[in-house]
Amino acid sequence: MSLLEKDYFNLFDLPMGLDINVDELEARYKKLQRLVHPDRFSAKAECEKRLALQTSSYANQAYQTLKNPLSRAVYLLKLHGVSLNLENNAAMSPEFLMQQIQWRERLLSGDEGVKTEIHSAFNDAWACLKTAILEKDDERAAQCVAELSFIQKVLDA
Amino acid sequence: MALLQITEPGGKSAPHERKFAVGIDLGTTNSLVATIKDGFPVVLADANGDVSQPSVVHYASNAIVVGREAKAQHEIDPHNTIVSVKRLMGRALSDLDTIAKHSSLRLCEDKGMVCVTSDHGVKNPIEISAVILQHLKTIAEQSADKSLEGAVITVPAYFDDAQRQATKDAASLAGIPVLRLLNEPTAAAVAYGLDQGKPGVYMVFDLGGGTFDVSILEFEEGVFTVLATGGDSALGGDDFDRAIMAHWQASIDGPLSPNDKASLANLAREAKESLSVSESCVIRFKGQSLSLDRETFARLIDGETQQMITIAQSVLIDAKLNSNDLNGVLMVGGSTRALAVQAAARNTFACPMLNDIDPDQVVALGAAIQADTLIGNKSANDALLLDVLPLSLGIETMGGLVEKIIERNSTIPTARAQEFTTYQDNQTGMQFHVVQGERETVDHCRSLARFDLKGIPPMKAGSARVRVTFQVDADGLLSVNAQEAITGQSAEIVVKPSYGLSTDDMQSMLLEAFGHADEDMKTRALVEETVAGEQLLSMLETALEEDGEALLTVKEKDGLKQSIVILTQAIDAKDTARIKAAIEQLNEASHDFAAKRMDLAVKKALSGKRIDEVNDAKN
Repeated sequence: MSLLEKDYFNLFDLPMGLDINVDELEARYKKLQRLVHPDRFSAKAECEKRLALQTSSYANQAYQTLKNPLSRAVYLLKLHGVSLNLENNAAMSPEFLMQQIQWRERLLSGDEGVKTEIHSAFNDAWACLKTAILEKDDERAAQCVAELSFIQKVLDA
Repeated sequence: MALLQITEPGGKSAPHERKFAVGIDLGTTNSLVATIKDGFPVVLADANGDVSQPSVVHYASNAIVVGREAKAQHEIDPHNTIVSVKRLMGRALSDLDTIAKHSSLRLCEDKGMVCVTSDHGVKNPIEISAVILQHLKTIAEQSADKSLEGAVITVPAYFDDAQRQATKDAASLAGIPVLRLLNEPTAAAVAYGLDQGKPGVYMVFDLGGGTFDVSILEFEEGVFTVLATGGDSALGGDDFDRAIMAHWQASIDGPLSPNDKASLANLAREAKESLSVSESCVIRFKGQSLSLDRETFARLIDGETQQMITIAQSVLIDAKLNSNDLNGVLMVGGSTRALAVQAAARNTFACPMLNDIDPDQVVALGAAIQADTLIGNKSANDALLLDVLPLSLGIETMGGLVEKIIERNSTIPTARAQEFTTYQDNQTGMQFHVVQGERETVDHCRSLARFDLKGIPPMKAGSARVRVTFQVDADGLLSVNAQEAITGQSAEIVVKPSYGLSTDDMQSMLLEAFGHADEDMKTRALVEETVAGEQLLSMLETALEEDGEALLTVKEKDGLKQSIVILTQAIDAKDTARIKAAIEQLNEASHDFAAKRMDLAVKKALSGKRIDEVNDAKN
């Protein structure tokens, strides 16, 4: 199978799963780039240069996707054929949305303690996602990822 | 066997001889060219022994002069003497307000680009830069007595797509094969040999004549990663000169002619430079004496230094780091000689300042090291440089809003595909407006190009699926291609750059440059295609020897050999068009083989090795 046809996990020869060893990912990513980056082919034939450009771009995209837990989760579900609609607020419970607003307000007022609370909510949703994937409950998995994405947005704000 | 015989352009060198590659620092004020001699990077001097060439071109009605000679014309003939052309690269007239005000040039606009009207005709920044590059090429070739085979040209990390493309176009106009556009800070880090030393995080604080760049670089596991980059492509030492001029002008009586302004600008520069070694200075101007001391100078440029520190701090934040994480700050660019700048950096970042390589030469030296690697003189075991996209790329959507396609600070090369659909029945075309910048409206971003997509197969509205791929290469340059997903048909894309030359413009400029010598142009094309063809043949020969048995079926091998014969015959026939077609065909035919070889190499390197083993191997 050509490198460009491999899924991101397979590309770095890492076991497919929600939790990965990020240090291992980084080491393998760098190793891969050292082999496929266009700079390694600047004195080579046009077809090899083109291939290097494509493969190196693909490796960058794969690395970025897997490095971030949320995008990794979204990608994993996509591989499992679960489609997500992360922009749809209506799918979330009113309590959950209320909680978001409260977190944002507390963050704005300089309440540092709330960060720990948000992080632990992220971890809870992550654990829930793991269980859902294990039990092959696609609907629940999608719901967990939606929650994670909302929580991530609060953290990034 | 004829296949293995590689001849270099000009036919002088033997197959195993080192290839002649240079690093070029195409600077705002001065430009330098460097190469590797006896294993060490050195800057190359002209016949007068000067290593630094003023980036100045003088267009008289009947002659073009460049470098030191052109600089000498600056005061005598300011209208026709072009300084700081780098500031005009990839820019429109409307981008230049503050600079144009101080310029003695007659600026105009052509094809969206700012141009200069001279007694020699209207000149665009690409051709002006090409004159400088041609000059550097000549210096290099005379100094080495070899013809140039490739160059790494440095650009500010903050240069957008239009500015990078303009630089690359200038190089091809000058007949220089570009191995890579390299970001100046990355080049500096290579010159300091950070890739040979301990892992760590470094800031490159690069203040040139016209540009300010800050990059945060991390070196780890043989890979240089740019964590974040930022800067201002219109902030530099020239601004210090202008601040000094404005300060003096307040005490000068009467209006100044363009010639007066030009000579005052030179005096301001001299004063600035002298303050790096002495406490104060006095200059004479039109019978008046004007003075400047370090304290006043520091005060005059306080706004600029504060601006630099603010930018540097925000780049550090972008890299998600703080001052304590830095292992060192590299001071690069001649303007970091200003003591006020050094003091500001030292007071802000509590880590060692690295400034023992000449700040004017460090970028060219680093580029030379990288050029040597890229042309294949060194084994590919050197550190790899991973650069990032300095500014986000996006497309215009409804209501003049921008939808980001590739975020800034993404590691390059990178590609992003997006699907679009038609909104009318039987619609066969689509238009994309690509912009670069961080703001949310098109008006506040830089327009890069408009892409006209044609030849979408006629279908019902909303049923065509056009997959548009935005590809940014390792030089930071964007290309776009599109494919209709259902039929698999490629759509044709016509690019109209907003501030530069289309492929057709480039072609006609090249023709113009060689217009008086049509035969030269043809000979050059034949030599280029022949070299490319022979390179391809020799590489395939090696590849087939190494992996042909293992990776190819007999049928595949025969197919490749057939294409090889066709190319060999075309080269023997000295037919440029035939060689070109045969190269394309062979490239196409060997694509799968190349892919298999790459897969094999990666498999060997990655399979089964866990991180602990990788670490063990290093220790």
